[in-house]
Amino acid sequence: MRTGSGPYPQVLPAGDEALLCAFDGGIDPQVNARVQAYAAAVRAAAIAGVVGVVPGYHSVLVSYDPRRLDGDELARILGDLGEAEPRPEPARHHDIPVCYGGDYGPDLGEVAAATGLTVDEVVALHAGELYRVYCLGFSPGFPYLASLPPRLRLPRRAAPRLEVAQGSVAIAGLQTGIYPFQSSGGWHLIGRTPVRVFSWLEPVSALTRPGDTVSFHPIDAGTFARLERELDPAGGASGG
Amino acid sequence: MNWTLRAVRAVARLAVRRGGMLTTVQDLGRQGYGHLGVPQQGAVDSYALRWALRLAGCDLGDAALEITLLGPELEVLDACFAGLAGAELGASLNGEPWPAGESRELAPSDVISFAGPRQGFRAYLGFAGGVSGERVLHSRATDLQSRVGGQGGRALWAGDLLEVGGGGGERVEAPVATSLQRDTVRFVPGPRDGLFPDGALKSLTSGPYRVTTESNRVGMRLAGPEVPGAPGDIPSEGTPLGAIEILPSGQPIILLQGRGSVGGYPVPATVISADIPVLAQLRPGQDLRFAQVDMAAARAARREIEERLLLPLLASP
Repeated sequence: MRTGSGPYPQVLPAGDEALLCAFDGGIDPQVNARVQAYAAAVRAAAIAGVVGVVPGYHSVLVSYDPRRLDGDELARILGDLGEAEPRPEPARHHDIPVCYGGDYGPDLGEVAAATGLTVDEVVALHAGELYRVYCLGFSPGFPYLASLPPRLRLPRRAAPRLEVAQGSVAIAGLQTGIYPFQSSGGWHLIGRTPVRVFSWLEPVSALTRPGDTVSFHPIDAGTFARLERELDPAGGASGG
Repeated sequence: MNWTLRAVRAVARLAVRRGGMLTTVQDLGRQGYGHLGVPQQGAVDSYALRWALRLAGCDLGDAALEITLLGPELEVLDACFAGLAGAELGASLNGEPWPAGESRELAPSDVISFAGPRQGFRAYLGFAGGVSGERVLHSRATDLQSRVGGQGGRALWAGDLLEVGGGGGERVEAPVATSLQRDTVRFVPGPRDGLFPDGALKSLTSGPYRVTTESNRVGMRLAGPEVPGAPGDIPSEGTPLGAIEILPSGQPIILLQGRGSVGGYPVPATVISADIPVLAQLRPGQDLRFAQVDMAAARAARREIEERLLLPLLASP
């Protein structure tokens, strides 16, 4: 019986169309590196009948078509895949410009109050950290980034917002992230970036990949407006 | 047979007079892009969708209309051919009842309307040649959250012009019911039952759960017996279709086709694939009961669904 430690995941049933390959540990760069390497190995194995491979922080969900592939056989294949130790794609670094506070980050003041810091200290702490992309999800291209400096960690907002602006930079728990599109959301909004993190234009692409690193640097409203014009001259054409 | 009289345009149009409560273009969804954060989407009731496609003479990959509770009013502008499946929402063609599980030839100035729900929650209207619409990542499925696919990523509105493939067909009927109307929903344990205390799954089967009005294509929020020992947030991970997420309050949400590709609440059990169409037909305010089954039963139930979908269509009188 595999325990999920080391390179071998524990293979758990997730209904009759998916298996969850779970690794021990929580939000941890070493664990997530194993997760990404394992997800790459599952994709490289090109198992007929596998229709989706979704890495999370500490697990990989493998979806399959039960008409084409037997779940028990897939579980056996997945249980033996850890040995390959494949190399993940090379990591890249993204330095993201953020206009903090004001209309760009309507929760910045509340975050400062709740953490007992000044607004400038919140910005300095958030922009002073190097984050790892652990996985993508929630909405297309949304990067789950960790770990936030301990002094900035707050629970999610009690009531989620129905409308969060595209490019909003937000924090919750030990995570920070970037909302790719206008959507609902329950995290604290501290700023906005003009950078587009997802494009529906073919070939569809996400700016970041798991394993990449991200840092943030503050910009003023004038720079935000200029970058927005430069990055998206059509004015939101990436929204599909 | 007089082929010249049966000739139809390659593309046929329908005018949307009323959009209905929530009418969207859906197909079997976009699979394989969850690692980019792209949701699956597609018809919540893939069983009824597949009947609608068969009745209309479509390919399995074509798109159809998913009609929710209160249906649209559509005026046919060009001759075409359609099949209806799923919920009985009071459909009629020029005032004549059109039961689910039957196809119809449509002529210019025909009007398709829906008088109101009789049984079930979602109906599917397929058209020969498929419903046109924005195709993103190999699917026309409407993603209401990301605002892409189908009719510009939104529900149909009055004034929309709907384009369908056109083409004719033989009037046929489905040999069995085209939707699964039940209030019992089966689950298998896992993946994260290990995070809960022993016996936590017994709470799910201990009494009825009400489908609350806070339910949509993303998920069904339930109210009923509390599942004890929920560990709260966990590190986010991939969400299977039918995942029964337990909120910190102990109440479950069942994740459907519109769910995000990852989620942060623990999933102690997952609804079997054969019963997703059952969920799709339950209305807010209705009650459901859970039953726990093993994987062998889940697989047998799925095989039975697939076999049923292969039964030959019956010629209509």
